Amino acid sequence: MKRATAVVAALLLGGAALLGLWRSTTPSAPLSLQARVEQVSAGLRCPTCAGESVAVSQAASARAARAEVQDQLEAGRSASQVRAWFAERYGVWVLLDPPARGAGLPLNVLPVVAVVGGGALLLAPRRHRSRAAVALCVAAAGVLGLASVATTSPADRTRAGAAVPVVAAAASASAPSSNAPGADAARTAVALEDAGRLTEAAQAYRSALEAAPGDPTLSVRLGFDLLRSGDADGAAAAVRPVLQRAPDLAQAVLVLGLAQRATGDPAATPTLQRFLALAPQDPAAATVQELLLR
Amino acid sequence: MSALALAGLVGVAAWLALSTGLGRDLRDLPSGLVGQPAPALAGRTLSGDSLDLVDLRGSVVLVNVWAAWCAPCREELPVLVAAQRGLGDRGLRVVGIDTRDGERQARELLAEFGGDPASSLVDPQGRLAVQWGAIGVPETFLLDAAGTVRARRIGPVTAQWVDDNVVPLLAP
Repeated sequence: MKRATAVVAALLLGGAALLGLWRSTTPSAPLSLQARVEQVSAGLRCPTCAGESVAVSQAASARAARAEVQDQLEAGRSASQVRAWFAERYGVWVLLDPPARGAGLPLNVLPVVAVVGGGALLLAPRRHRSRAAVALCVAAAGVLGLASVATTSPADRTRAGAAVPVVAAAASASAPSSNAPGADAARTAVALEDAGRLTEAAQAYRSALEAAPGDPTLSVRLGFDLLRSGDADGAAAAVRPVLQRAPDLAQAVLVLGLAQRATGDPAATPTLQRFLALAPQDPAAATVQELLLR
Repeated sequence: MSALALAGLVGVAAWLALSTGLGRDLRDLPSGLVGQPAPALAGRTLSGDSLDLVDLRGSVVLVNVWAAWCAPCREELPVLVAAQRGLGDRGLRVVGIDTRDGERQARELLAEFGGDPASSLVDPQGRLAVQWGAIGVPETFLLDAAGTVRARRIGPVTAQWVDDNVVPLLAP
């Protein structure tokens, strides 16, 4: 009986895995031009803010990239031709879903190895199972090994999040330290923020701040979080106490300046200029300079 | 035996992670354009004239993506102006892509350092920068006389970089 349940469960799981593989490799129905622009853009890394796709980023370079995608699709080029055009110029790292070669190979092949190998493992006679498990591990290791040998083009080498957009990134510059008071709440807040749950993250930062009142890192992160969720007044209020004690804390100055700008406060320009003077090398500096020109 | 296989798997995965450059900066990545024919580049310049890269075939060209709001661009401008003046006779042309910039500010900056507004294309939306695969400003592409991209420089160009990379491509 127990064995029958296990077999049914295994068949269901195997079926689901095969369905997943089939869905992920089968192209979908034809789409409108706008939907295709969105689809292609979603697969391209924003050139100046690599953690985001061209579809969601508000950076000027991402808008330019999206316009390029639209022009090319309108001119009758296919989605894969457009992707190849971007990869030619920027390198393969610009593709968010890497092609099935080089470093991207194991991502494409390992699911197949796992599903097929796992199925074979279940079907193997019990006394041969440990040998089959070894074979599966060796096959997976082989895929990884071959891929790393095949990765000869440095253009395939990729990493998300080098130069980052103004708000999200500046916030990631300083993670809360691990043994400070309220560290657990702070870690929870960061995780919530990463998951895009900004309101809950703000609450978690606030409770972390109760344990460590006036902590500059937590206050700045709370400020960025509130900016992202559109609460500019709250963001300014979050960093003001920090700035009273440490007027030269560049990240806090940045939060204040962006908050002032969002509320139409004319003080935004001098505040942002002060940020640039304090941290000319900050990843956000170029974007801030650009903001000031508008 | 299976523990050994597992250890091997973990080892290979770790090696792969390291060799694929996790933790590397995008700025370390080579341009996909190096070794390829240069993309098209044509349009209106800061002086209002038109400029087409095709007309410069036969010259060694530095295509420099810049903007007046970019502090490191101000830093490198004297180097580029000096390169154009000193190496122009030997076949060097410096062409700018003035990207997402205020035209007045750009012209003022060029005037301050003696740069040529007729050699910088305006790129108000950043479209030209994307067509060249630029990830920021300043960024400079070196083209040989046949129009092939020979090098890409991210960050300000220095006199040393010009000596090492540009001069060897020029007529003696």
